[in-house]
Amino acid sequence: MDDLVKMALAGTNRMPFDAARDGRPAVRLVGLSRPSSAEGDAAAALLEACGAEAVYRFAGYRPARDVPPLAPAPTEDRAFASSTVAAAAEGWFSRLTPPVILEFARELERAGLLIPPELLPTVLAIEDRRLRIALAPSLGARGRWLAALDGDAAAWAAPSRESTVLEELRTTFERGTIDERVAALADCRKIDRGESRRWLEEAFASEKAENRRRLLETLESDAGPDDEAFLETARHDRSTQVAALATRVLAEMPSSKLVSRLTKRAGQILRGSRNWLRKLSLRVELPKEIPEDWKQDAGGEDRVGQKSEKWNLVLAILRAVPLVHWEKEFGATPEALVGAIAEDEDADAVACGWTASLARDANARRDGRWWSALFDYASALKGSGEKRTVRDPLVLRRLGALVDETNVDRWLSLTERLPADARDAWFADARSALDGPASERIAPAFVARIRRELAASPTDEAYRWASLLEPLALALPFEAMPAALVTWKVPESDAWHARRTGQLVESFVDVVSRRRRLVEQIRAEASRPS
Amino acid sequence: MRLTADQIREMAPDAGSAKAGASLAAAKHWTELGRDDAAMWGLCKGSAVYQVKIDLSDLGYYCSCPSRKFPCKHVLGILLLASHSEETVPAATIPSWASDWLARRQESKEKKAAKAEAPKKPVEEAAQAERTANRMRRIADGLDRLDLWLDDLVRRGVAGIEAEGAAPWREQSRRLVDAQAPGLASRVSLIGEIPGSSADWPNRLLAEAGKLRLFTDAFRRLDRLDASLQAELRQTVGLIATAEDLTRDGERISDSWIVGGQTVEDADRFRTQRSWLFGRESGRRALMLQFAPGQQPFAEIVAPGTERRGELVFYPGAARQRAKFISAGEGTLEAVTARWPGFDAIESFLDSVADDLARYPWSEAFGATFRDVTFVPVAGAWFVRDDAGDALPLARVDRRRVLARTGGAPFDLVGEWNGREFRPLGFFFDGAYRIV
Repeated sequence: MDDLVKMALAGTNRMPFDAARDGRPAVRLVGLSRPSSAEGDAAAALLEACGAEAVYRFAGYRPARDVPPLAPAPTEDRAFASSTVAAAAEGWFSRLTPPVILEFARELERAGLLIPPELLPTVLAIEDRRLRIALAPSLGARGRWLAALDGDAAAWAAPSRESTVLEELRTTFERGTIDERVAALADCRKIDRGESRRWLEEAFASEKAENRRRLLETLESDAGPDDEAFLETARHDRSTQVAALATRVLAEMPSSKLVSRLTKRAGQILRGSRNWLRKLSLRVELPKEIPEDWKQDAGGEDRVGQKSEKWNLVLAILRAVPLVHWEKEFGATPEALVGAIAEDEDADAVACGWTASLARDANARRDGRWWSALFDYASALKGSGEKRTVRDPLVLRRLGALVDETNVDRWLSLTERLPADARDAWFADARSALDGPASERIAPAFVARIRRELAASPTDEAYRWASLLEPLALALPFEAMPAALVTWKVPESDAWHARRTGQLVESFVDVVSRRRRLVEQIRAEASRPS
Repeated sequence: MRLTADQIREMAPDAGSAKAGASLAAAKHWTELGRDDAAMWGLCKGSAVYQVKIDLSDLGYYCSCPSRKFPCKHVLGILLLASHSEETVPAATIPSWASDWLARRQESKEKKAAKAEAPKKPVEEAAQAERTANRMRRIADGLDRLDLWLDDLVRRGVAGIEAEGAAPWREQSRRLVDAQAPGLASRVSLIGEIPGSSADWPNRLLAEAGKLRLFTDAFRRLDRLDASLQAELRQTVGLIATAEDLTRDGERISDSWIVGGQTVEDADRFRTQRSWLFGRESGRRALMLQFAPGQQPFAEIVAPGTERRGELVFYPGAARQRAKFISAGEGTLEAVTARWPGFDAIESFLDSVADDLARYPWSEAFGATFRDVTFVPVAGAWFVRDDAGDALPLARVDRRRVLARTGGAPFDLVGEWNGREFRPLGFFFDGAYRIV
């Protein structure tokens, strides 16, 4: 620190100052005009000396010399998308709209174009690793050069630099917040499953229960035989939540020992018989005393609180068994199997178990017969008048999450006969489905249905349907956009619902149009001769 | 003229208006959209239908909406829409509701010009002299009180004053306003922001307070200084040069003036817009200041990256920095599309700063245009580097915007140097100007 500043900090009452005795030219100049070091003048002189020295330094500022140049960004081997693309994409990035950003990344990569330079700072500021992974292939040499300048290169490195990425992820896993650690572990798993499991095993014992559960969740979507040993250990975790999660993950792994035990037990509890007309009927028979290992194996975390121990046990056992097993076992179609259990007192538990199994089994979902059979069962109405309700709302909700293009029309038409309470749940499920993995495939059917509803009714019913337009605008695939942009007939009324419906439609058309323009612009640039 | 989206966003009174304007930058919100050489217009449907008209010669605008923000979202919306491409606002015949406004505007401009040319009413010299003497006395008293306070501060020691915050400085600033020294008042108010704001705050505080103390001394000896220094000190203290002063003593330079960069500072519910202008032919730099209370608009739209042929008059004084167009809205605005003169070497610029400071040591910052410079990292900090390898430290700005565009290749840079750091405001690369 400068002597003058030290004196001013301490005060001239404590540290006397005489400008005339100072060696600095600017300060000496002050000394000439204020030769006295009287108390009053000393403070003024010190201040003026500080001012004079500041001007002297400002006027005599010397730049840093011989600063080496910065190596420029390498030449690109692909063209940048244009500034028109940048302008069209900017809003989606500033509002961080993941579905459109993913679409943008996909289209750019397909078009062989690079992210426009003006968009790079915004893109590089994104922290969502899923988006980073999608955008990385279109970052180009310029983007990676820019990221490297901020020491952020590893997160954006090309796939060929996996070891660097892993190092970076390892650091994050060791030092980050729990959210960052979970993300790092999940990213590591995409690159090297064994490595990610090693990190998990090393860290697991010393983590608190909530963190163990969060970290274990990274195995949830793609656990394989190589994870079984670790998961078996985790099934005996001191935290019931962790143990339940490990059990559920193992139960969803068809080759696991747990599944083979559960399959064996499933055969013991679900008994079939045929009457003289050869009509199949099924019933649930549990041992009088449930063995401890049964209970332990059934300890999955998706137990339904308000249901009985027996109900949860049936669910846990049946959900682990592939549905095709029952078709072979009883030589019956899904429709016949569901019909065969319908009269049993545990039918709901069985239907729920089968629905859970259907959720896990992609082949059965594509087949569609099981979805239809379970849908018919669960959506059948019982009761009368105002007390009328669907037979099994829980199964129906779970089936809602499995809607795809093969069954969306049936699911949409369900609304026509649902009682009021069930309709509320249905609209909530519809919103979730439009945010879900099959959103693109089911979106066109939604457009057609909502269009019909709005044209038919000016009431709050139309508004209810219109409220689905918001997620729908982001879910709609490019191919379905022209149809979605055909002029909408909206309710003509001064009622609040009608006005709001009009606004929702306007906003939907705006979002879809902007998405369409962005995609079309990228595709046009891809086909332009370079 | 077609402005870029960045330039238009700079015109917005706040981020909310910029966002709202962006949401209106779609043709579906507009009817009767059109433009010709002189104007652009459109009807925007909001809770009512609003008429939006823009005079392209100086970006003067009118919107019939009731918003108290200027420019409002409708004006920003149509400008942003026009920035997308030439076709978004098509060429058309101007409707009467827009042409009437344009004609009235033109008429008003002409009246203003005529009024400026007209001989002024004779002033009663004795009364004016008395008024001036009274004001000078009040200012002198105000400066005496400021000196007493500053001296006392240093006598006791400035260590720990950061704990008191900016309040004591604001109080001194208010007293200077009462003493009719508003220019100095805003300097004192800004100094109050320094304590505790960075690790080197004592150095910065004492440098600024010291310059202030030197200033008050100089002002007391005003009549012993030369005329240009007197004029500059008067302006710094807040005695505004009159139109007669400008006509009589102001240096006039006719050129094609480029708005190279701009800052807007908010202090005490008062906004100050500083625009650095550079003469394409003369190479001369000028500082154009505009003030506005709260969210009120600045009198004139000065958009960075635009160029206008016209005559600037420099305020008389030693600093030779502050200037204004002789008549507001003079000349036609164009977007900058070609490079303009600037310093090739940082060293030469610093020499010019030294010369300027020798003339007037209280200048706070200097506008600069550098040609063919790059940004470089040095030991964790970023610098602007010239071709010879000399470099100045950069202020904290989003340098990624520049580097992303240039990829490390040389570019022309506009900014402001305050003796500690260079603040980039705009750059020219690949045939286009962009705001930093």
